[in-house]
Amino acid sequence: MSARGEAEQGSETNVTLQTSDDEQFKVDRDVANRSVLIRNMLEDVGESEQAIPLPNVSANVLKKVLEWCEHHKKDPEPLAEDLDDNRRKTTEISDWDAKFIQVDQEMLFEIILAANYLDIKPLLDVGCKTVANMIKGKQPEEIRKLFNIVNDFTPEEEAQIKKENEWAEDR
Amino acid sequence: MDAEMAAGDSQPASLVTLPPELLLRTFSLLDPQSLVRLSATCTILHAVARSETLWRGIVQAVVREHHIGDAGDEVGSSTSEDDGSTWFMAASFLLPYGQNLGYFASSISFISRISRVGIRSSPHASADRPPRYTIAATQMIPRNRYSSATPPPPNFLPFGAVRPRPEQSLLFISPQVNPSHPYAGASMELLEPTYDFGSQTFEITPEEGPCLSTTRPRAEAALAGQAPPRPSPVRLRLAVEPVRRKVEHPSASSADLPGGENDQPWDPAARVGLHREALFALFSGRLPDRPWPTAQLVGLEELNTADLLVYRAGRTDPPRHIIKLGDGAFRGLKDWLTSPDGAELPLAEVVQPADEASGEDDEAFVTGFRIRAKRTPKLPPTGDQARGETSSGAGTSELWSNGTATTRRRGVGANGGMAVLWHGREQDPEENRRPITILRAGDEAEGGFVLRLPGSPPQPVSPTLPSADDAGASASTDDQLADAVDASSEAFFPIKAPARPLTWIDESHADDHGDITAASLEGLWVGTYSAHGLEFIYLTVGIAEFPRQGDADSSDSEEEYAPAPSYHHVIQATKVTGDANVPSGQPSWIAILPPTSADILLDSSARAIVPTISSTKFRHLSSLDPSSPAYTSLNSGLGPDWDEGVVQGYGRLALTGYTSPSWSPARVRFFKSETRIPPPPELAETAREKVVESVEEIQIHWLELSAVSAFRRVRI
Repeated sequence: MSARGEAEQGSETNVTLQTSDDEQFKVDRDVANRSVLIRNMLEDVGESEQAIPLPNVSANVLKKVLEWCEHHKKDPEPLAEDLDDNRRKTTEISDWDAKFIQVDQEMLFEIILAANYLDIKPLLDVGCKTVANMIKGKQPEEIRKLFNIVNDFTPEEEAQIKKENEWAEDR
Repeated sequence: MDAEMAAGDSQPASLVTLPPELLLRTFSLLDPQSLVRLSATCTILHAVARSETLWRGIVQAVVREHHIGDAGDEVGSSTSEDDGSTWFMAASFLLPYGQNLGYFASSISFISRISRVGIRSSPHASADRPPRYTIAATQMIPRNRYSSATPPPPNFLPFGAVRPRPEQSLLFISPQVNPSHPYAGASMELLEPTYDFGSQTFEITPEEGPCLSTTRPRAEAALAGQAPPRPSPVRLRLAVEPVRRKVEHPSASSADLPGGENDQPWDPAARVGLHREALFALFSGRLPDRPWPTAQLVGLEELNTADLLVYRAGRTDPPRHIIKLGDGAFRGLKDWLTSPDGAELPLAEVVQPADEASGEDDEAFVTGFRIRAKRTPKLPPTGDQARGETSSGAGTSELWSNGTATTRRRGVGANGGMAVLWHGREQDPEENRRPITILRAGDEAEGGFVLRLPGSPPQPVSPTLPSADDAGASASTDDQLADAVDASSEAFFPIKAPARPLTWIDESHADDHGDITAASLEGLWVGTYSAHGLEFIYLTVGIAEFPRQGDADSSDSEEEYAPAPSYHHVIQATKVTGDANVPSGQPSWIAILPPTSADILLDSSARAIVPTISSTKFRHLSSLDPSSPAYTSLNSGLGPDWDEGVVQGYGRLALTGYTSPSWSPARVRFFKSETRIPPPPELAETAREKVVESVEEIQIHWLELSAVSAFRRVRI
């Protein structure tokens, strides 16, 4: 629990977060500020000893998210959305992030959901890029297998889709 | 909502349970093909992967890069209001052509012509539906804004500005004004190119699906001195089929010829000594890592024996068109394209890939399109097979056989571009069509196609076409046009696109010391070639070997052991479009860059630096009166340092038909310019104007010709 350990240093800059399964995390305010949701909440309520409830995030996911926030706490603010848009076109991920995101699929999607809920755009990008990279270059059957997707098309629908998609194959 | 999410723990998070907005965000990172495949997995992902917002972004990105204007109403008028078009449908029309979009240079080496295949759009009435897109090829003709009719602009200051402004685009720089000026006594051409995309060569509409259709090229008619005809309804329908084939190892032989009529194995490589790289180049029109292959690069030279006095000595047979091989062996083109039993044979064979398991990764593939012309003869074939046979003696530009026999032809472009073309009856169980099959070749990364248009190399003039009156009146215009297309051997090969206009996000080309790297000059340029008008060149940076002593007469190879040669970084200008003297594919000039400390090892990663002079400074120095104190005070009384930004070079000169080519000394001057670019509107508050330094102009002083050519980077 490195996040909790470091948080002991100065109590006035600490924030307490409470997860959906009622675990409490004390973190540095800089770290917590990576989440736009938490930052806005803190600005709204001001200084408070009360724990901030995060009912959508479980302890094991929050722990992982905080690990990312801790490593990226000194990162500059994300650029304006239009440049951000430009950047998102690439699916490159930094080494540290790539290592960080090597988790099982359920955790990966939990992280994406949490990053979305907590409004941590860069982390959300890391998650989405990872998923996109998993999809790229795979055949439909491989994608189904990878993500445990059940093929719920009727044979007629499947034939229709295959016909519509013909142009994209054999290039 | 919170409660629901918390309770949702029973269902683990997975791709299909992600909320749609997150799926959209993820899928927006995907390429079209992955999206299409994703849409075939399940209904939920199908709904998201097919969403119009995603496809609109994809289509608009392609269109942004390749848009060449709005379609005229001649095309768009037939569109009904509710044709139910979607962005996905637009993508499925445009994207298969994606690798054929871009810029192509003509294989006719003695003319200056570039084709651009791009997208035209005619907007629908409603804003949320995609515009109607068509794919069209236009010819890109550079024109010099300066002509003798339009005087240079007021901001142009030739040296000695005390004199009245010159009235001609071609200036003669009088040595009386300033004898020390580097251009004194030379003629200098002003360059301010504009690009005309006017003449359209073909067009593809969504209704035609994977088909090309040609309209009568107006420019050709104009060339032939006729009035431009109205857009012709005559269409040659060409089906485009994707092809992916492997080039066999030269040692292997194969009889697997598409449409081949003889089963005799024949190995062209063994006969002519081509190696795999050469074969690859012949098919693709380019060599890997080389921007513009020439026949010389692959060890081939196309010439007429009449020009080879040694070869002709004591011979009485008529001169032939031959290909000279790199090893010095001469062999008539017809000889090695004819099998022992007299049938015509392809230069190289394209075969189906072997099974995956045995695949060797260094084998070359030919990928591309086969374009099949679907024209059904109005009349039964007359069976005059002799026509094809007799005319085949005309080298590479003989007419197609009109008969029923299958014939094949090889098109040999002087720039090394080559395709095997075959014509005749293919096995078509359904219809008795006589398709022309044209192999469009290109390596996988670059793409490209061979489009055959009226015009026949190696003659610099286009053959006459059926006249406009015939086209309107005759029922056989389809055939006439097709014949005209058949008779041609003009092919277009992909070239690297021109540079985009500088934008705010572009980095300056100057490094920390203000030096410009030579690599930043690579790309397409246009320059003045005196009476030939404007021509395109392609600049590359490389390393050249020079004999230790004497000048760099690179056409002579040193047989004897000589002192170790020296190596220099050079900038080479290769002609993309040619003229009657120096054709396309040939070098136009080279500039020898000064040595840098990194040159000791000539590390390929070392960055070569181009010496430059600021264009404003040169203009200022040129405008000074040599008798003025400002001039004489320069450089301790010696006058300006005219060597700033100048390197030694050599220019290619040749007689008509590229005979007796030689290297002529030249001086190459690089101008550094500063482009001020305001930030984009959305960043106007936070960002500041940026200055991008780059080389946008080069001047070549041809010392022997006493002429100065100006080159500008092509930015469109």
